[in-house]
Amino acid sequence: MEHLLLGLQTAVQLENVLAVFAGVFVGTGIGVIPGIGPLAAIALLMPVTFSMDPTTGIVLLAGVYYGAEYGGSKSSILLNLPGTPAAAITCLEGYPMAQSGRASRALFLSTFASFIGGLIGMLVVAILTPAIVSVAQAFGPAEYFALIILCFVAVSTIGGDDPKKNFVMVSLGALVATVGLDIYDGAERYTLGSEHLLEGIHLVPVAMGLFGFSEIIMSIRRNEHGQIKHRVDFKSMLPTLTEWKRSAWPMVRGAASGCFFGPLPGTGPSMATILSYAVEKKLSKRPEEFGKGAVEGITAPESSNNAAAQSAFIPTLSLGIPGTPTMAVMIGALMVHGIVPGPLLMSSEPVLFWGLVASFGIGNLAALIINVPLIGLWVSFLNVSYRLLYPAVIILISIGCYSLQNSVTDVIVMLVVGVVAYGLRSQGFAPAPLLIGFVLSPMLEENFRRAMIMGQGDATFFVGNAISAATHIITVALLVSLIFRKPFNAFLERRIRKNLGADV
Amino acid sequence: MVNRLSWIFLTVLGAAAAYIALTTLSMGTPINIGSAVYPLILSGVIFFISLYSVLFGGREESTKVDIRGFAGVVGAVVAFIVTIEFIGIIPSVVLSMVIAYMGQLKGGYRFFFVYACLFAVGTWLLFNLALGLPLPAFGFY
Repeated sequence: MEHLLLGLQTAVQLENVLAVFAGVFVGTGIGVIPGIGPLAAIALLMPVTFSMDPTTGIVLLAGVYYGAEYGGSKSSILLNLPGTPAAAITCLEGYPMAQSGRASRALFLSTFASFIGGLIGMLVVAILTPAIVSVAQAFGPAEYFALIILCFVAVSTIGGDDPKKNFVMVSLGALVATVGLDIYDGAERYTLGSEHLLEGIHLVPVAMGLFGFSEIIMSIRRNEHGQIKHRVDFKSMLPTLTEWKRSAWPMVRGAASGCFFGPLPGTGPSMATILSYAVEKKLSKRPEEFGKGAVEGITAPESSNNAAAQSAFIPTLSLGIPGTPTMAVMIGALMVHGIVPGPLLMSSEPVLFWGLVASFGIGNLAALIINVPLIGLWVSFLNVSYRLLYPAVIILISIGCYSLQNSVTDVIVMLVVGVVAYGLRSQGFAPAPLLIGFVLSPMLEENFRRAMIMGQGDATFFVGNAISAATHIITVALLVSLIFRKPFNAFLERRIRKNLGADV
Repeated sequence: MVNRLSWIFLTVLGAAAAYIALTTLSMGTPINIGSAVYPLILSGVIFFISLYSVLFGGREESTKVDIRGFAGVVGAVVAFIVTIEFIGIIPSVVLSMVIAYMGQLKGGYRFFFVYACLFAVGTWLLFNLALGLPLPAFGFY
């Protein structure tokens, strides 16, 4: 309790409150516009935080992250075009609600559900992180090695993408991270004789190239849309009593699903929203309304989305292991400020840790304030043509990279990563595994080499204790599940076709 | 064929990375692992998975490449890299934005040019005056 009070004292300091509001405001604006996304926004704003106090800087970047999750539903509801990947499921009920003249209420309910999900997520972070930290303090290099390998395999195998491609992308990201001087013997690795590459490749140009540069090229044609035709104003936002009643439990169930999937590597908010939507459809007394504007189909995924966004901080802060690419960038931001995330963070930086957790509460309140009365502003954002926005974003990305070392080297790195990422993305390679591989690579190598020293060169050291052995068993199980994936998917497809046939 | 090309690219990349690791870095001993081992494992994973996909991978769907959009965005960043330290932030930003704008087909250039000029002044005010980045508005760095 005294920790939370310490956090609250930190979070209510004027500069931190301003940082939360600024972060949520910028994040909402970026989330509203399809094609930029929270990850590019965080990477873009990271250089701005260099001159700030670390707590204020991290609070601001976290605000951008969950602010974007709040904003993402606006374009889903009004344009049938998700602002963020996790808001895609909101299109299914949000857009039909808007078409039936209930756009304002859909927007209010999505914001309120995000608020509830965010608050529940914050409580889960405050309760679970210290518990995990107390276990993780006993972790040595073998356990960390096992956990990171599990994270790599989970990111590669869970989800709909081709595992083969994901394995290559994770390995490629990890390989890119080896550029620079070796931590043990000082050997130059892949520096191509460049002095600028001796210190390694910075996270910002890699993240910008992967998610900013390549995403913009892919969005140029996709995001040209018409003007918003739905009337949206503050007065017509309040839902009816029936809509409130129908939304209450779905919000709680959605938050539960978000809190479960948020911390898991390879799943994140998108999977949480899909599952929460499916659960509501299954539990609903009016399943026939789904697809035509059922409120539960908005409130559950939106609550789930924000709960997942907050609970994703649990492994990031407690173990230093990110489950999503956005969390990978957050780890990079912490490290730029000289803070090493992991089990020692809570004891070495209690002000930052608890200040960040408490700022989630203030941030969610700020998001509610910013999103509801200012709804007209966000809707007008959607009317700005994307062809005017993307050249500006390209410039901001380039200047953001340049500002890291006041040198064009990082802009060149961003360009190379962006071109390769665009080429690979157009062939179905997902960029997220590459970024996670890049961020976790130094930690994986360090723990691998330390474990070999501690085990006197004996590889059985990696499975010599219960935690690492159990973790390796889960990893092997995930790999084995790939063998059964095709027949299982074929079975599922047959079942779905059969059910659809029965409905018709 | 395009999809196969991406796998060939990755096979070559993996092989090159493995070759560099083997020839320029030390392998060390089991107790004291050298700087070559970790990149060698990673490049090996990339090489073998990619080679398998080149040899046994079937036909896969690929997205159509937007050549105009790609050229516009790449051209804008190249223009920024080449000019930022020579002509100053304002002309560099205007030039890069106009090149990026060429990546799409709609809209007139007169309005966009005015918008790009205003945006360039805004970025100079933000990055130079507010954030202290040493980038002059015009001229050499």
